[in-house]
Amino acid sequence: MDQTTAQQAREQLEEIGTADLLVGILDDGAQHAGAPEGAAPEVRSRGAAMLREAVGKLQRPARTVVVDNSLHPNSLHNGSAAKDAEAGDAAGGDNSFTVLLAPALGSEMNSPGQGIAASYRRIFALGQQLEAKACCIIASNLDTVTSRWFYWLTQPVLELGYDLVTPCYVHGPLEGLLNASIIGPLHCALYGHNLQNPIGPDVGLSSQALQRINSSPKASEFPLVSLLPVVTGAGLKVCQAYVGRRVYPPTDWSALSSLLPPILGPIFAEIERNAAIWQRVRGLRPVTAFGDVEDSEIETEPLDTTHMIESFQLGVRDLGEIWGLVLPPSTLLELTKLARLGPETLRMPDALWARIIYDFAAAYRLRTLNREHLLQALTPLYLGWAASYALELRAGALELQPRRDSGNSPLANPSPLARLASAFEAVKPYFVSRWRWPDRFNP
Amino acid sequence: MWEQAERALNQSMTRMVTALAALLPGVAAFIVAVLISVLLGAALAAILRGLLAALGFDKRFARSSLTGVTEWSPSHSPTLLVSRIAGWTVIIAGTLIGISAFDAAWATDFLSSMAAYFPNLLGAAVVLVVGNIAARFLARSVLIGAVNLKLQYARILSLGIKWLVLVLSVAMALEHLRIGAGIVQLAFGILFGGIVFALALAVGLGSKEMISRSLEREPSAPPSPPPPVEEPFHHV
Repeated sequence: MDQTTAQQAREQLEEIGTADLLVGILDDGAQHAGAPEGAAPEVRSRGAAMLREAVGKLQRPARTVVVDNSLHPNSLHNGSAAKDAEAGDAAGGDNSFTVLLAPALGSEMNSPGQGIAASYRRIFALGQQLEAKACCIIASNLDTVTSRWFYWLTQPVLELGYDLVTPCYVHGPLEGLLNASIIGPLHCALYGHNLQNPIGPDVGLSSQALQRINSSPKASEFPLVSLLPVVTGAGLKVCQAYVGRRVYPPTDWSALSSLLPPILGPIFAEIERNAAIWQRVRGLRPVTAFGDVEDSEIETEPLDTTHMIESFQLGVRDLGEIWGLVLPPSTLLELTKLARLGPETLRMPDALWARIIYDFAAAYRLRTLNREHLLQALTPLYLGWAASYALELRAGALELQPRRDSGNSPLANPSPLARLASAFEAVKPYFVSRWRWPDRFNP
Repeated sequence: MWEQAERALNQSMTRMVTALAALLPGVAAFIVAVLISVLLGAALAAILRGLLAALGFDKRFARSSLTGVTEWSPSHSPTLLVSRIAGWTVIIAGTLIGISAFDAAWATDFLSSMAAYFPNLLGAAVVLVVGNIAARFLARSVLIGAVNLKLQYARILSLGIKWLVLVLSVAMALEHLRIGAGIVQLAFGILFGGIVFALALAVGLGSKEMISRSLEREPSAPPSPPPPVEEPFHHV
């Protein structure tokens, strides 16, 4: 960011002063690569209109500031950013709706190495600077975002006093599996809030939550993974909202080993930082869910489980020595038995999967082996779980219908994912013991 | 003649007994020095073990990034490693003191040559330890990476890398000890020559089509834009 742009951004912030609502749009275009040229500005104009519509539905008018990640300083010079800003203003026609250029967030926004985490940090800091009553961040593909997303992620904060709103998406049964298999159930069991997507990535926050996140010395470099622990630790109010269909980028199952460490590493590190918080949490509290449940059928391509099972079997055959440093012998034995099953009969028990994840989280803390190696060694196990889940769906245990498992009533909803969430909760005492007395469990 | 032979034998016996008698105090001093050093070494090791255990040295060490040392340590305990090193250092020092008790020229020569050789020993030990840690780390990296790439020969590849690094580090340690100094140069020459030759063949044969395609490509064609950097959190 050059000096002129930085100066412009500072002046713009001073001019704005304060705001009721800060909206951050972090769709940097990478999610819809291959879209026709010129589609991005159209999508962004539509996004501005949707936001306007959502803000209009609120009981009281809210002075809104929008920070759009796509408006880079370079585009400022060729006029497109200004045009976008004008589009935003035009959508409102009054000065209660301001589009702030991304340079205000600092140079980190444009550095691919820093990634989305830096953008979240900057927006949270900006929210506090603007004394925003609510802050909403949309990081999903803007093509599928509707005004409902903006409304339901902000209304519970602005009008009902909630501090953190996490999304409930509608998506295909084989989409978002990383969240469904590890992130969601792990967070639910540890922090006691039954949320579908505890780390967003689309979220709504109150000023109090922003302040806690910004001032917490324990907050991670990846603010998304710190949200629920910090909010739970402070005793703030949490809810979730049905926002609608979310499209996930296609998963490259052959390159999972590069995807798991950057996501699971910060989550395990956060678990280590917040041990005092999650060890106090008992049971699973139901969470209020806002919005309407969408009934639309989503077709997804079936997974090629053959390759996944082959990877899992290869892992069992060759990584036993490394897994042996992390997993107890009983778990290794169960995995060996699973690997011997035929490709159609492989089913990974929920309790086994929960124990594996807890064992890896404990090994991450104990540095039983290099952390990068540890997280990469989880890949064949994750592929085994994914294959088992896909086979279960295929076998007809669950109809292929859109997933809306909010998890509010896991016992009433016997879907495999709700069952998995219950298993994580049931196995939590094992994790607590492993955490407190690691020597007893050293394999 | 018999008298002369008897006298020569007597003198020889006397010299032998005198020499043995002169050596006995040295032997006794050596035994005492070794015994005391063994006792001191064991006591020091025990004290260190207790002290480090009380300080939670293993846990602190495990939290540091030197996990390779932990794996390399006996029973995966750096405390045990440190205490054993301290104990053996005392025993070796006691042995050297015992040797110096022999009031002989060879003992002095032996000690001075040992002192001159000590830096080489230390260097070789460091090379071996670092080589061992590097071999384990690289072997694991290769094993996990190869399994994730679904290579059926992952374990063989990993073992190959491990032994390659181990052999290299042993050869380097031997060179430090001035034993078979030519081994390292020879090993490097053969190994790297082989690797470079294999890579040259692989690249030459494997990229034949790619190079011909790139040569046939129109010079006016604009370069394709780089793929966007994918953010892992979009998959959450």
